[in-house]
This record gives sequence, C-alpha cells and structure tokens, in this order.
Amino acid sequence: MKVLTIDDSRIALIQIEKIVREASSQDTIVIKTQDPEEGVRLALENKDDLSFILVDLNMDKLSGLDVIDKIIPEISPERIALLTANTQNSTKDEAMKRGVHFLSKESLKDGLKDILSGLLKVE
Amino acid sequence: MLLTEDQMDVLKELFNRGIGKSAEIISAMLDAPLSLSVPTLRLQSIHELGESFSSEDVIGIRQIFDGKYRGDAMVLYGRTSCLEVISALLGYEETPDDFGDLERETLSEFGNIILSSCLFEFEEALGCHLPTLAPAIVHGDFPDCFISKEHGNHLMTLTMEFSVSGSASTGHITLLLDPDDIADMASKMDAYLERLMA
Repeated sequence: MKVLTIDDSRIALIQIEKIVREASSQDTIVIKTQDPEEGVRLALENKDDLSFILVDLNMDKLSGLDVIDKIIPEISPERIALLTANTQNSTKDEAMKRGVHFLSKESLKDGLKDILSGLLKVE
Repeated sequence: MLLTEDQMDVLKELFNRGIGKSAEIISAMLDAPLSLSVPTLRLQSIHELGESFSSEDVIGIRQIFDGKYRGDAMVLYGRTSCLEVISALLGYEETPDDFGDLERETLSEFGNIILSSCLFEFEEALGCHLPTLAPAIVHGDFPDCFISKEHGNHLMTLTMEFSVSGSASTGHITLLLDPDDIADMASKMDAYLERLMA
C-alpha cells in the first residue's frame, strides 16, 4: 500500500506516518511533503499507485481544498481525505461536497483505521 | 530565531490545533463559518508588534497566563469588527454602537473559549501548566495597553487571523511569550518530538 500525506507541518507528517503504519501495516510506503504544490504533482504522478491521499486543510500557497480540487478530476474522491483540526460543520460540508473523507486530527487513528482497513480488503 | 525549525513547527502546529478545535464551538456560536489563516511565529520588538495591527481603535480580550511561564493570550479586533461579532453572538439585528455589561460578558466568554482551547493544547502536549487569570476586555493604544509590563523589548508572537464568513469581521488570535521562557520551553518541545518519533 502506498499513501501520500500533504501537510505543511513536519511534526504533523511524522504523526500521520506513524498512524498510517499502525492503521495499515509497517510495510506501507508513506510519501510525505510539506509543499502543497509538490503534493499535487506527486498525487498526479503516482495516481495509479496511490491507495490513499491525506491532505491538511490549513496550508500556505494552496489550501487542502485547493489541492483536492486540482487532483480530484484524476483521482477517485474515495481515495482522498481532508485532514484538519478545524472540525466546524462548514469544513465537513466542503469535504462532503467533494465526496472526500473528512478526518479530524484529534481522532485520526480511529478514522483512518476504518478507511484503510476497507481499502486493504479491496486490495 | 531562538528555536530550531522543528521546535517552531511544534509551536505553530499546537497553536493551529488549539484554535482549530475552538473553531467548531465559535462557528456554532456565530452561526457562520470561520476562516482561519496559517499560523505565524515571529520574534518581534514591541514597536514591530504595534505596526502589525493597523486598526486605529483596537479592542481585545486578554488572558494573562502566569505560572512558570508568563505571557499574554489575546483575541484582537478593530472596533467595527468587534461590534459585528458581538452582534452576531447575541443575535442582534442591528450592530450596536457601544458595549454594555452583556456585550462585555459575551465578548469575554468568546475570547475565553478560543484562548483556553489554545493554551490547553500547549499544556497537554508539552506537559506544562499555564494557569490563567480571568479574561479582561482591553481597549486603548496597541500594544502598550495590551501587554504585561514585565515583558522585555522583544516578544515571541504566535498569531492566526480569523474572518467570519458573510461579514467583514476579522480578528487576530495572538500569544505573546517571553523569549527567555520560550528558550526554557524548548526542551519540552524536544521531549514532545521524541515522544512522537518513538
């Protein structure tokens, strides 16, 4: 399984990688970037190999929603999650509108476990 | 800057999470979505801090934290934005011209929710206690009336801007920390990082 994570915080990326491995397997390849523009490029270049993409909402240059809007024509929304500490309803609505998953940073482990175990069954 | 890239990242990410958590409650109170900027961390002189807030008439909710580490946590607005936020919180059809007791209490509560959520995030992650005094409404010259006199000439400032959807209301959420305290907190940030990587 290959997972792309896009978050402008290196600390958040370390945490996410750890949780992704716990929720899937230690063999999972986790690609990380702090640059949302590079994230778009990596997502599109690896679109056939990526099982899942996690995108932080609050980033400079491009927001998580901007990133998602750029990759969603090429990648199924079921393989994308908007990740944020900002759990207000309007943010959830934006994720829902695009058909992508919504994951709160606070309960990331449980939310991600459910999604990735579903993906592992399919794979 | 006194901190490493990773330590600065810890401060900004914790700040982002704390404010992000309060956004759900605040958005429900205002009945409108809240947009949040990316957090910034700066070492600034008091003079630079004054220049960073351009509004001519600043109103703020300030909570002093005063334990091992001392600093100021505040929500700052220009007067017009502040009155609009109060109006939304209290469901007024027209924006009031001034503040009464109810408006002041509401504003304090609003600030308390944001600032407590933010400080709690730091306490949990870094294992430090940041006891706060009661929130106070501050109005006057910025930054002179808004910062503790004990601070030196330079301050570490963590800031996020917020705006309320459907209105021109904007505000700043700011933590002012003493550089000496920040240097002392660095070891706690390293310990937090080590726990993350373990």
